[in-house]
Amino acid sequence: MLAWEELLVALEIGLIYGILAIGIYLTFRVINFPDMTCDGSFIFGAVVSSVLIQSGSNPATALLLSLVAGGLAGFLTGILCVWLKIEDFLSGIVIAFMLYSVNLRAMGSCPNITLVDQTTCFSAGNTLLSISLVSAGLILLLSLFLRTDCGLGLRAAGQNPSFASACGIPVRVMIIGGLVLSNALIGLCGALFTQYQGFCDISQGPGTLVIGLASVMMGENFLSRLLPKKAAHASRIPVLPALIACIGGSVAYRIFIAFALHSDSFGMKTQDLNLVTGLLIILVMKTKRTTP
Amino acid sequence: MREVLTLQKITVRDVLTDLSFTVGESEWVLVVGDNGAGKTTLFNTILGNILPDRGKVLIEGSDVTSLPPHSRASVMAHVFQDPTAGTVGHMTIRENLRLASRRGKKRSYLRFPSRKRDEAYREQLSALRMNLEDRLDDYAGDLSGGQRQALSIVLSLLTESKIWLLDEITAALDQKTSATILEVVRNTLRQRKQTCLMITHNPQHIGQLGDRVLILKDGRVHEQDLR
Repeated sequence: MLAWEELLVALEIGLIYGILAIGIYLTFRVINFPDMTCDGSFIFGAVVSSVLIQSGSNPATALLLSLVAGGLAGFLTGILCVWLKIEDFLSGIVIAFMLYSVNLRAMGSCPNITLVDQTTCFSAGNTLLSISLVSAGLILLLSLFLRTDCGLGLRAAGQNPSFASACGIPVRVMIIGGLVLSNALIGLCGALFTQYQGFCDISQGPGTLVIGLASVMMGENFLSRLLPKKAAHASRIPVLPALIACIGGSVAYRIFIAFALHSDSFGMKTQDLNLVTGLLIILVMKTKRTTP
Repeated sequence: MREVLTLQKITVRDVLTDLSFTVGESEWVLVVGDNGAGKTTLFNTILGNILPDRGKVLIEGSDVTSLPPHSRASVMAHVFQDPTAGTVGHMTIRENLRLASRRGKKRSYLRFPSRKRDEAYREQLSALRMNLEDRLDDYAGDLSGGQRQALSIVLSLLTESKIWLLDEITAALDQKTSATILEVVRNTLRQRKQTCLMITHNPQHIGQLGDRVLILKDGRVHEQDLR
């Protein structure tokens, strides 16, 4: 049986990874871009944050610069795809691949950095409260932005580029802007997570996309049961509920992992974690409501 | 008559060859031709989706040949042949109207939906007599083909533009809906005195609509005055 402390940790990590899910929602749902950069930008944000904290920087400054670092990764992916006309999938993969070397170099060729003796954003105060406030603030800001004329233009650029262009929207600029925004959030998520767990490991990057996408889809799945049928399609879910669903999906994903870690009572072992988590996700997705 | 749109010796690969013509203010010009004659290529060249190999596109004397499509949006409005292309299906009618109402204008980070603008949208939609004014919260993708095409015509008319480009706007519609859509076009042109280029495949339109016909054949243009 899960202990309360384990549930609390799952909730905290879920809230942090919810920011990753929001970033992935922005690329996969809003600008309709299959962005693979996140495997690199997540750990890039984590590395920038860890290196800065180790060198004595303020943790808040480290978070801010991680946001910029993630945004830079997204910008480079956008340039590769939009200006150099490299396939969208490949642009993200190439940037993530290259960031691995950049990260290793920044870490001084050491695959991990510890922050155990360092002051982080979570060294004082209530962790759950501060993460909740960050998530709520981001949801509020993003939902407001996506309702403005500019945010509407971003959504249109992803959903119908020809029409958006005919409406005077610079589609290519919007796609790059969307990638910057998304990866900035993913970089921030990496930085928050590394400060939360007290270390950064280069191997934490790969698999980020799967976690984020699973969270987004699980959130949408739960939400689609509450919405009228005509609004239940993934691209039609109103912005605010969709953003909240990203966080909800991420928390649910972490709770599944917590359950999977306790599956030894069913004869499963620790190495079966991914298998059990995957099966739980399939179970939830299998019961997905049919949408128009 | 003041010249609004001028094409000078436009050549696009082997589709259009040294094509030149001028469209004047308030003129309604039909563009006809067989499949593959270059009608859509001509529109894409005017819209900026295709950069010609040679020649110039002038709007009121200004050379816009190298301008990207979104930079031309303030001077030209385009209605697509496919109703699904001319709207965003997963956005509500209100959101589609908000998008189109900023054509060629700056998009603010601080501009939100307002009741005042909703009233203006309702007024525009009521002219269609399709009861769309009561469905602002409905998704454009839930409308029928005819309703969606009518909506895309309203979207193209929300801002003042110098040229109205209509690309086989009735091709995907039944006869009754086509008649309604053409009536909307006719009324608009009468009221606004708008310069209009309209691609059509329907031989019945020639003689009933337009002031002039441009016949595209083998990449060249032949003119016929209907007045």
